[in-house]
Amino acid sequence: MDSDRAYKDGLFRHNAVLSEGMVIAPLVVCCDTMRKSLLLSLGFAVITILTVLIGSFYPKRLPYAVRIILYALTASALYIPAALLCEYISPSTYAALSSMQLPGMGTVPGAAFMYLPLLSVNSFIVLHSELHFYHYKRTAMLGVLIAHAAGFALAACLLGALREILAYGSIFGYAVDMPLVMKGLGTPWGGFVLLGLLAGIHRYLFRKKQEA
Amino acid sequence: MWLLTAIFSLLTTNLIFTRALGTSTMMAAAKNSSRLPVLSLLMTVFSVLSCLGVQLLLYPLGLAGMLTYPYYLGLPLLYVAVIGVIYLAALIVTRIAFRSKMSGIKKYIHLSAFNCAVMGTLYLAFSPDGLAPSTEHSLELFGLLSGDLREPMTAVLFGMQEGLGFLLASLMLSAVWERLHDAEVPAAFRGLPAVMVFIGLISMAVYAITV
Repeated sequence: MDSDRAYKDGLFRHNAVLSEGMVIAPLVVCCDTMRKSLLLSLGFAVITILTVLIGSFYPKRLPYAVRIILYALTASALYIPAALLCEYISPSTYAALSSMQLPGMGTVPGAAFMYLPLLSVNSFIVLHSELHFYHYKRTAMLGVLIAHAAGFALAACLLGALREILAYGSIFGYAVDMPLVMKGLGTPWGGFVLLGLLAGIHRYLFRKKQEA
Repeated sequence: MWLLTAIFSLLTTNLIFTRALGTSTMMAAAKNSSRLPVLSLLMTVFSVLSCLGVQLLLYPLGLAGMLTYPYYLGLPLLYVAVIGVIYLAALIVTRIAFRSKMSGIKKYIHLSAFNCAVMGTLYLAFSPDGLAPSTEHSLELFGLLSGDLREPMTAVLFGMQEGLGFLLASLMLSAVWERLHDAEVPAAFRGLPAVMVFIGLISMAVYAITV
């Protein structure tokens, strides 16, 4: 397979979030600021890259169902160092990653605690490791995995930046002179709508490029 | 009246519209309306059995300490192990009971087992101490506003409520699936982008009726 093409596709054309609609939940709920997006991307990269890499050493003679359980268990074990790393890098952002806006309750600390551990069962690990990544040789697979993780980070940061500016009138915590802020865009529904718009723009750009 | 109340409860506690859990799985389910009932049923079975399994491990078998700091970092291991056992059991039962349809059903079992909806249900039902509001433990559908999830029956009802919520959301999406993929939708927004905006709008309506 053409690895160079696969790297670019993972980052842009076949972006896991914008093109394939994968790993949507953590983005929609948690990525409402740039800091949170960056921390979530770090957690995603640590859990996914290491799990798929370790999983490539599991014997193929094991039944498929057992291999899938082993991948998910490996990812769950790797969540522990990933969470500790995220907390070590930025304790305040790690704490903020756990809060979310719930209907009728406002911003609830701890209500989004589950989204980082839920990355242990993301579709890269339980579905695409076998369907996609293990078709490459190990070094090429690592490159493709990094490209996909970078693609996830790109989508997360785009969404996080857009929501932080539009919903809170700031970027990286620094105030931006916005004539109007729409706090609702910080909620999951705002995340869905903006992610849908970003996915549409992504498709428009790549369709244009293909036609050219 | 009961039906209206039930639908209202399923909407306001819906995993997808309030927490975005299981969105990708729902999109996969809604693509083909014929497989929607099978997938939704399997999701409900996985939610119910995994809630029951984790409840038994945490309370009667004394692993409730895992809900406290720092042991709660190991909760994904526990949850994945429970789901994994149910997954294997489901495959074995299907192989024995539906041998001829095994290849068709296997992919649904796989899709229903390891996803954010089932694991998210476990996190909502058995949250680490101090990290989730107690009002989240509501079983409005069954008239139990704050059920005690240390009771096996409550855990079963909680899993059932979340599974039915998934079914309702999938039905709503499958009803408009064709329209969101119609030629009248601008090419760039046809399909996935339109689906996400649609879920966002329904989610906004759910927020509006809850506030």
